Amino acid sequence: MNQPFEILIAEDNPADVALVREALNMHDINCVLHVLRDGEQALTLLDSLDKDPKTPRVDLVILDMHLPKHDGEDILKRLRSTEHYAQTPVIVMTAESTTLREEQAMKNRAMFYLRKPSTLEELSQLGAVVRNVLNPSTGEGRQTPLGHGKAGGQL
Amino acid sequence: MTAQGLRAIVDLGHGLDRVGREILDALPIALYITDAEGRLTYFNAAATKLSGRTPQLGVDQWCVTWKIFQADGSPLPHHQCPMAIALQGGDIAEGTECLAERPDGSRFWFTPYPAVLRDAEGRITGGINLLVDITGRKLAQRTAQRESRLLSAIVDSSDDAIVSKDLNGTITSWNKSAERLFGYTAEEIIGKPVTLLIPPDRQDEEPQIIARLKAGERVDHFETLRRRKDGTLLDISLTISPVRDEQGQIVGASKIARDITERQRAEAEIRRANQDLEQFAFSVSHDLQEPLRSVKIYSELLTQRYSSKLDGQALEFLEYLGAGATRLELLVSDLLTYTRVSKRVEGSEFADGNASLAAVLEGMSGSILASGARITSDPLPTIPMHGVQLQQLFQNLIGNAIKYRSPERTCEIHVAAERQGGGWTFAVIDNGIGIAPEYKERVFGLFKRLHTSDEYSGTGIGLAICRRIVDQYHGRIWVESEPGRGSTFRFTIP
Repeated sequence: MNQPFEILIAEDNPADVALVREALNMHDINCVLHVLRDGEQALTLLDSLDKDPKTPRVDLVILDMHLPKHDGEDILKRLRSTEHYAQTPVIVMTAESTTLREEQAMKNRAMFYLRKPSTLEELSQLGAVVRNVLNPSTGEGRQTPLGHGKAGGQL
Repeated sequence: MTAQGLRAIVDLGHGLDRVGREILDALPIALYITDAEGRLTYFNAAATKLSGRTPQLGVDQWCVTWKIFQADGSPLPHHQCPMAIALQGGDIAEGTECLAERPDGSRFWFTPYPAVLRDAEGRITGGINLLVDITGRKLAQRTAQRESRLLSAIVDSSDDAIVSKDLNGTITSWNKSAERLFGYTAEEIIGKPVTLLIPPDRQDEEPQIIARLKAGERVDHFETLRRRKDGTLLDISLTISPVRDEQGQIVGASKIARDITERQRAEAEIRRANQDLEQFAFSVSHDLQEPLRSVKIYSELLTQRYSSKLDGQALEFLEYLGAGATRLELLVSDLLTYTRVSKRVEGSEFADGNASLAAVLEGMSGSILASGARITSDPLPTIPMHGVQLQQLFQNLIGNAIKYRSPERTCEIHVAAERQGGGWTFAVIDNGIGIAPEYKERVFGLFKRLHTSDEYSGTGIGLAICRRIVDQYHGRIWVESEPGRGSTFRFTIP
């Protein structure tokens, strides 16, 4: 059996984390979900992962636009400037309250851009997007699973 | 008295022949004759009438009157009266005005015309005096003065600056409020050009104002800026009317300037408060959407995933939860629509009434078809308004007309437009269930509904949005209705 995907999710609302988990379950995506509850945690983790000689594997980052301390845009910028994770796929989830300016900024850098689901159908669509991004064929050349490296301890 | 003097009296008084006396008696002007000492030798009927007494010839001296006063009201002794002065060789200024009292206490004004009579050697032999009654003129003058004082008291006590100017734009009068408002005293500014009060970038206003005044037009409540003596600017509302002379020629203008700085400040404050409130409503309704999304999707998830494990009552509760969330979602989105109405784009745009209506009817074709509504319309004008907002008005009003149609008859809706003053009045006329008079105002309130959601769906925002749109154009919206017969919603766009 394939190793589970390593997914980072920066989201402060547990209800939305649970929704993402639900969406992944709907599509039988075998993964480990690492939850970061605010922007600072997310930035600290990115830095330590990037410095880790084992370069722990990250298959996908799911970012909420509005986070405490540092918002999604900061995290996305930092991610794109890392040595090892600059190409990591990112799905940005935004709420209704996102302004146009923020939306535009995120669209420029993110791979996928979704509104947070408000119906079961949208929930299922979120799962489908994640599955496509992860592309089940990617099994080779994976980096060390996250959680097994030095940085993993804090997750 | 010398014998010669006595003769002279006889000469003067009795020397008149009968015809001469009759002529003088018939004169409507008071007249009397004296000898060189001023003793009356003759007076005519008009003199008796004017003085209110019958003088005694040869006894009454200097004047026929009973008492005389100077113009200032102080008594004038008879030996100082104009006739006495003339007989003593003095000069009487032409047009001297005297006040006299009759024995009955009534008073009258007159102008004396004394003349001295001389003999061949140039000696004064007597005098003749005409007393012209000027009481009528004096009274009219006094009334005019009183009125003018009253008028200037009003002008002076007015809170508005009242200024007049001639057609060259030279200031000719200046009241106290003008002094207070502009900082110039009347002495400083009268005779100066009115352009002194106009800021440099508004100097072109004056020729335009003068042109309108010359055409006999009034300038009403013209809101502009003027400059004080200290150079600061002042928000004022000007009302300028042409002033005409007796011949009806326009010779100048009177200008009433009202300080509207305070009003404009208050208006700006209200606008700001309204904007804050709108912003608040907007943020709140916006932010409400997030938690609402969670409630909605989780109640859906619960229903989908656990319905087999829940009993009937739990499922019923869940249904209420979902329905509540859906309704809340609708309210929030309506509230957003409502607050967005005010986010009107600045600038001028024109809405073609016919095209707007056609677009709305096309969008509503489903409900029109389902209800069997017959919709007709007058040719509609193009008006200065945002097309989307006119469509919103039609959409809400026609939507209501369909929603509240009568089950007893075919739904008929007519859209009319009528020119009124400078603007247009639109009407959406239906034959639906109508609105009771007590609710005619209430229906335009935010989230005000007359029916339960079982009877008619909706949040009660449609007409509130209509009112908000119309308000923005300083128009008016109202309903006329006969319950059971139909309603007519009218709105004006000035």
